[in-house]
Amino acid sequence: MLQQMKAPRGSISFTNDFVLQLITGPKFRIYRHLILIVFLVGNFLNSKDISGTPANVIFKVAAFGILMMLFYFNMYWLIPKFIFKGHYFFYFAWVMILLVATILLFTLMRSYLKPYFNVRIHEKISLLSVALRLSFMFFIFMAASAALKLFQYAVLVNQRVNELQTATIHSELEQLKNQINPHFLFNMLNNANVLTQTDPQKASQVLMKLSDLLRYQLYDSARSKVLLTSDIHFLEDFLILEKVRRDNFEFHIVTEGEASGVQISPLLFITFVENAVKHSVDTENPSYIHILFKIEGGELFFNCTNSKSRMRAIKRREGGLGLANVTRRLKLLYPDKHFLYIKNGDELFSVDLKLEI
Amino acid sequence: MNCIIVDDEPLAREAIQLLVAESPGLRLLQTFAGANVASRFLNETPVDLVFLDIQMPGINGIEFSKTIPEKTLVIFTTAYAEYALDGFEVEAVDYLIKPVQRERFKRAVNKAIAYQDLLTGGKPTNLIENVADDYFFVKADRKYIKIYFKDILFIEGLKDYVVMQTEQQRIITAMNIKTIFEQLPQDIFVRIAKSYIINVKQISSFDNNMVFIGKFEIPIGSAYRAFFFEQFVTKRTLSR
Repeated sequence: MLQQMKAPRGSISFTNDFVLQLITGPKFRIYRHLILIVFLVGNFLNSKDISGTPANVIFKVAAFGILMMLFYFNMYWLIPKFIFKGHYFFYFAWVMILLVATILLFTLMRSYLKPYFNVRIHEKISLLSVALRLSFMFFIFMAASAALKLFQYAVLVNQRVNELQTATIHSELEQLKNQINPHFLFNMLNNANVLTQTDPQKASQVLMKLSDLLRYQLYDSARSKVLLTSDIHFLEDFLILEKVRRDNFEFHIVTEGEASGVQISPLLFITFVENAVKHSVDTENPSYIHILFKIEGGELFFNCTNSKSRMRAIKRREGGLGLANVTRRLKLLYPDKHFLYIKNGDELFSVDLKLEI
Repeated sequence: MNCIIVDDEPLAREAIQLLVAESPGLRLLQTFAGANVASRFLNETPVDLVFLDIQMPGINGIEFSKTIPEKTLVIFTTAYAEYALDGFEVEAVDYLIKPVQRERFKRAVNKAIAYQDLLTGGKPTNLIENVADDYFFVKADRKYIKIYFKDILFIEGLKDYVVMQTEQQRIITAMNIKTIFEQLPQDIFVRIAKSYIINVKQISSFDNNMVFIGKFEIPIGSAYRAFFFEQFVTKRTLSR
């Protein structure tokens, strides 16, 4: 089994974030609306006069009012009410009604203002061409307001999905860490109970180790990073207790290089050690577990080798973290920064793990 | 009674060993770390009682118990209560949860001794006759004993016998637990484990794993639990 992990997705850069804020952020809302109004007013002032004042002014003001109304009505009522809820047909029907209403309104306005228009220019423009121009303007406005609203919506949804993913990953991590094996615990308590009668000093030692073990597993491991040395100490406690449970069991933990001050994510190695314990249990033959930690050039090298039992291992019901979980955690915690190699031989089972630290 | 201990953990073996040493009725032949060696020993030496750990590497204690000779009684030991109830799906005299209390151990051993007496004492000639609506007669030594259904606390099956426990007496008859169950009124008798039928009207209290009737505690087998709770608890529990 050989596993290599992929790089994480690139995070959104600062400038990218600023543009997003500009378009969707609530604190820029007023500026966005001002920009729209200034742009519209500018456009109207700039446009060619089709008649003399004051009819021209009245017409322009009315047109401006109608367009603004369409724009905001679309953005704040039609889209939230129909598009977001998936009623596309009703949206389309509304748009059509609005288009007809707009054309009617403009036509009415035109006939009302007719006496004030410059008649010569006016006669050149047919009703159909006015309607076509109006429709064109209408659709541009509707499309622009819809695009803006939908873009804002898409960004919001995307953000929420990201947040949700992060939250899920966090809770998943917590769960993966907090699995205590009750079978181990109860058996240890039973052993301590026996030792109180036969060897009280050893009983006391077992209880101390057990409380250290639980403290580490319950509290210290809640931190995102722990000292490598305390994690090694935890493994040692675990194996000392395991030795109490078994006949003919040996273990060694060797540390090479400067381990003090090195920080790692907690409870990574215990999974491999638990696995080694599970698969080495042999009530008839001697069994062993050898563990090596080597710190060299910003890399931590871990090896755990155990003798393999000829017996069928105890079933999964016993609990514990499991190799599938640890590969998942490694993916989350050390993306692209770890290398895991598991060798399942006839006599030996060995795990090599390299981490960038 | 000759006994052996099978447990993969040395200290767990020692714990039972200490308790066996205190029990005058028991004689420890040997202890075993694994089922394989124990199995070989059982084939060569007659053993009356096995203290058997449920969770062991290699072979599970419950599977192993099925290969143990008919005459040998089994008491399961486990550190995990969840497994204990599985123990009642096979015919076990009792189960003990580690760490084992001295009083509890004594009770299990007494039960085993009583069973052995029963098994070696020859077939009881008691027969059930004249099953009526609310009582039946048990024929024992030319005498007919009238027993009202309502007086039975519970019925325990053991190999080819059933033991009917009433307030005053234990009546043992040569009968299969399945056969007797079919003859009992189903509205007050419920099977709650492979080898236990209880009278629901006699229940003093219960929890998830046990039914208590007077001083007796009866385990609820995992295969029967859902039915028991559905039929006799959910319906009769007053909801707020």
